[in-house]
Amino acid sequence: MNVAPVLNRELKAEARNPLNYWFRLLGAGVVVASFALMMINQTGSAAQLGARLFRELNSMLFFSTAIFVPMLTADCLSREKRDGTLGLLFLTPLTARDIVIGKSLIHTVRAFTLLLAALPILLLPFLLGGVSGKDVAQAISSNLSALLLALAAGLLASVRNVEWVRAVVLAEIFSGVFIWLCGNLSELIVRCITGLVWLAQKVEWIRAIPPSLGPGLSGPIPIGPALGGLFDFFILALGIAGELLVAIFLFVFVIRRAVAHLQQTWQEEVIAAPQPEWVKFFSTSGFWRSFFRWNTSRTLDRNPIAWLQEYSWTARLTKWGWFTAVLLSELFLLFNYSYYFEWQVRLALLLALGIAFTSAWSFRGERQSGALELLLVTPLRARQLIGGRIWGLWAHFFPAVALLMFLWLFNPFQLSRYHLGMIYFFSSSYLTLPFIGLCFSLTRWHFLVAWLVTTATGVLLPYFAASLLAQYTRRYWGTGISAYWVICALQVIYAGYAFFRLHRNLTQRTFAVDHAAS
Amino acid sequence: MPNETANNAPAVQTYGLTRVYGSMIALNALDLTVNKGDLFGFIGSNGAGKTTTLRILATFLAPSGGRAEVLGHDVVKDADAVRHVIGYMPDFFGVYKDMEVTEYLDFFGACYKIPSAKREKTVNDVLELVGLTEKRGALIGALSRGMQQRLGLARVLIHDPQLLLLDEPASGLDPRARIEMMAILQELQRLGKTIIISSHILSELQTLCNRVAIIEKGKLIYSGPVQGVRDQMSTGQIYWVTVKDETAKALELLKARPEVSEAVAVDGQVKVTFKDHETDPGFLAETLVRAGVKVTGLWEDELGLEEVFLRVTRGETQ
Ligand SMILES: Nc1ncnc2c1ncn2[C@@H]1O[C@H](COP(=O)(O)OP(=O)(O)O)[C@@H](O)[C@H]1O
Ligand SMILES: [Mg+2]
Repeated sequence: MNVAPVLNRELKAEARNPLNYWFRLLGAGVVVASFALMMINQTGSAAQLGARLFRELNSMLFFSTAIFVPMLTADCLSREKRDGTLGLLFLTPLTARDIVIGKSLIHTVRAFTLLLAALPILLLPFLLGGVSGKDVAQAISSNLSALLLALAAGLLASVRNVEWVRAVVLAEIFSGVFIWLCGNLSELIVRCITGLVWLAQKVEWIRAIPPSLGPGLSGPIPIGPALGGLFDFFILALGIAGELLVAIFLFVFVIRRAVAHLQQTWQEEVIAAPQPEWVKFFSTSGFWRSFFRWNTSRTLDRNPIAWLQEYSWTARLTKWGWFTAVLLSELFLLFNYSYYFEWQVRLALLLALGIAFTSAWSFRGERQSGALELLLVTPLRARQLIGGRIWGLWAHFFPAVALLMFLWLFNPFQLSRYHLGMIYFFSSSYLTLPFIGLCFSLTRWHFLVAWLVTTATGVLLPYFAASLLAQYTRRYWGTGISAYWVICALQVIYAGYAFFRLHRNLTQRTFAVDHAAS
Repeated sequence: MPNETANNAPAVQTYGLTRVYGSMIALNALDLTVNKGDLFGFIGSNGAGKTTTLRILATFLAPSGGRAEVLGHDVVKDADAVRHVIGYMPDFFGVYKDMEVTEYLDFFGACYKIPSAKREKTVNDVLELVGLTEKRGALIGALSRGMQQRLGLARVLIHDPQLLLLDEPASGLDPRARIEMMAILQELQRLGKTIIISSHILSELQTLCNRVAIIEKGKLIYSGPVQGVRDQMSTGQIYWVTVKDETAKALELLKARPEVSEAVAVDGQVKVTFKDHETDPGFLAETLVRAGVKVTGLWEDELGLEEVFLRVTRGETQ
């Protein structure tokens, strides 16, 4: 194996990558913010707080690993394919295995630096007490296996794709599936083994087995009745070993698949990404063609830039995909009403993430392909370009947003003041996010940074600000609603400013001048 | 009447056009005139400022100094009018890879506010003109380089502009695609369009263009007919002389003449460079014959255009 050259090159590139800095900052920021939030509504003793804090931080770490690591890894090979540098790597004596392993090593290092940034705060619960060795062991094993699987997911997606967006989406799906699979497989193994032990000893231990030892699902482990501490230890060790083993096995398996795939396909030149099968199903059917045609052909005449949002089949299907997702989630929540309001807010936040994603991507593609330069020399004005895009984004998310808001407002349960405020807040967020995202889509930042900044300043910050303001002004304003109005007004002002910046950027072509070169 | 002045104005006229990026001067007081109906070659090595000029003419960039007029309209004050009469093809494709060919043209037609009733016919016409009719339903990403380039040309023609600004349209094309592209351009010139085409290869435009301009480091160093390039650019005329046996003597005799700046022997032939290119070469034979040297041949050196170009730009290329 000869991974040194790949490592060397990647390390040099990494040192120059501003994204690392951003992500460490983000990691630390998120941890601090959630810590602060938790401290605001704290109850109970220091030890209880410590245990809770540890649990929360641990699950946050777990989820950010599962989400961000695949996202960051997903482009490592697809980018080389796009730039045409993959073939060059293969012309050297490097093999597919060297390349994949080199890449995965470097991303492990990268992920660890992310963890390191959060470490000081992770130590805090220990000072408060209430964290047992068992908790720590479980946390380490679940985070480690999540990291392995997330890396594998990102690599596999990267090997199989050329375009960034597709690679990322696929990586997230893989990551979810792998982690789910690992959790269930290891649980199955533990159950089988303890079951065998039970059969052998005919002791009723089976009830003592924790319901799930899957990563992130680690709940408190009931103590085994007969052997007490020893049994407890046995189960714990078994769970951890099972989880790690399954994760390592999956990791190796996936990496081998990735190597084999790369070996087979690196020579294929990429002209255009073919339509995936499920897209073909719609795009070749006469019914669906006419179904989508009626609302797009008129748009082209009235507002070509808005049409641009939805010319492709993937975009059209995404629009109705969001709608279906909201519909299904709402149906599910209607039957599980005890979660209703809590999950309603989460669903709304998820949709906001989606809107931020699409808007922060928006002009980016055009700038990269040069189509923006072509559009700016047509008689369309900058105002029309922005307006068209905003309109397109609104129209793209309209079905999903309208459905969500409608069901929220007219739900069969009692609507509290708090939720009325949330409805105002999310309505204004959905309207203003496209402005903010578009503004950041023309920056030279990495897309992920643009997306995160859009989300953070467009939704998350206002959301926390609104919650705090509502809590502290309740004494003076009676209801918390006025606080939400204040935040909505601020959001509108922010969006106006974003529009102004974007307009100036487009008319003065700031985006086209390479300041680094001059 | 603004319309009348527009009618008589040259296709492009720039006055001291300047553009700086930070501290770097990309265009330095460029005065350029392109007449209507010209197929105009705009030549310079990489980084000479061709793209910058075309971007300014296309109203994409604003000049830092000076002024430019396109068909009588100022590119800054009257940008809207300019946009309707020009078609700009940048040095990259600027395509949406997952769009169909007709969708792409339809979209740009809509951007130029061509009514939908007329658009379909226009799209068919331009596809016909560039020879892409069979590919109308294809995804753009699946087209070859040459085809994408022709699609770019089709897009430029969609609103029937009078002036085409084409930035290195032939770069990266194979010889066949290049010839096809040139044929289309000649056809367009016959249709009465003015075309400015930039390139870093002079000989590529030699037969195609009726006029050329050469720029180097943002400065115009030549503008006029293709044939004039050689006259103006060569530092002096070069003649070759062959004599019977006495090459060394001939060399000495010719070196002594005041009109000659240099005389060297190359492969038994004498290469004579004059100080300026208005000199009558008659004295060469006369001098030699008088001294008793038998002249067996005398001819003018045919400097290739490429060589002229290289000389002109030598040492200044980035
Ligand atoms: N967007 C830009 N930002 C900064 N410098 C630029 C930019 N575009 C061009 N330049 C600089 O201006 C000079 C002229 O460039 P350009 O007009 O592209 O030359 P050409 O098209 O003749 O190759 C080059 O030195 C280039 O580096
Ligand atoms: Mg150029």
